[in-house]
Amino acid sequence: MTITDKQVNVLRAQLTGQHDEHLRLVRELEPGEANREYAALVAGAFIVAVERRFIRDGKFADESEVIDFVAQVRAKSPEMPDVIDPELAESLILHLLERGSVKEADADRKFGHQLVLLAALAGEAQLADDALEAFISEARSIAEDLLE
Amino acid sequence: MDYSLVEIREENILALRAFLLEGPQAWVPLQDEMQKDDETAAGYNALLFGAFEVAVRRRFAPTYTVGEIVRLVADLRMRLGEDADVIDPLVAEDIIRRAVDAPPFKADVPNDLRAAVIAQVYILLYLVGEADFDRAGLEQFIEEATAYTEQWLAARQSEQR
Repeated sequence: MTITDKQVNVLRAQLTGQHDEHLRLVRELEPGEANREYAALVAGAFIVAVERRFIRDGKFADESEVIDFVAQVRAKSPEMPDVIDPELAESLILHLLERGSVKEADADRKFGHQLVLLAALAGEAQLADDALEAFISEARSIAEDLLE
Repeated sequence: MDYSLVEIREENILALRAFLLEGPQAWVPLQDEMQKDDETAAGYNALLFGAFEVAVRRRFAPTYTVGEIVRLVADLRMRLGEDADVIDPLVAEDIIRRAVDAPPFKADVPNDLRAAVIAQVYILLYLVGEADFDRAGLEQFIEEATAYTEQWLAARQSEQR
């Protein structure tokens, strides 16, 4: 199954912090497409972003670094501590670092957490131009593998 | 529990001082005494609760943001390293929010008394360590915690009348 350019454009809007455009493009996705291809694309982007942020020279960051990152995200606004469950957010990252399983939660909640964490990781990485396209291409490739 | 039978005695204050200086292991010899009855245990636990409330209010006075509460709990958990899981972060943030009368969580917080007591103990010891009291500072803190706890108990006693 392939990821379309339209779905990639939604991700690109999100990664570049164009919130209104991102919401507009998400609404244009078919429900099945949003739940399957776009969700896979976000998952792919999340995997790439976590690996780039938390794996250096093949070495995984320790748990403290993950706690610190999630706290930075949750401390950004008064609403954020309510929106993001720290244990779920940390477990989503730590699972990719081969440390434990993802905390029990429904698929929507996990997806919502991935979206917020991905936005924070992308904001921190300040991706642009060629680096952004390379990132998206990597995410797209992982998403297509996930959909197989 | 009959709050009219609970009072803060000298042994409770000595136990709090030992707890603050030595950590939870200082209370191991008190286990038999604390199991005598609810009111005896409450003398110790209420004072520990009072110390927690005073420490948190001091730390976040006169103003705070919920982001600072998030940061404190994260710093505490980072300090614990591989034992970070001992603390449930939402429970820990929730008890701090309650102590400073911050808006409560809209999200579901686990209703787990054991997790709340563990978080309370770790946060108290972390804040006492951070405050780095000298002898006089520690005594002043204990006096303040005792006064706070006595007021809290008086309020509970008047509720039961």
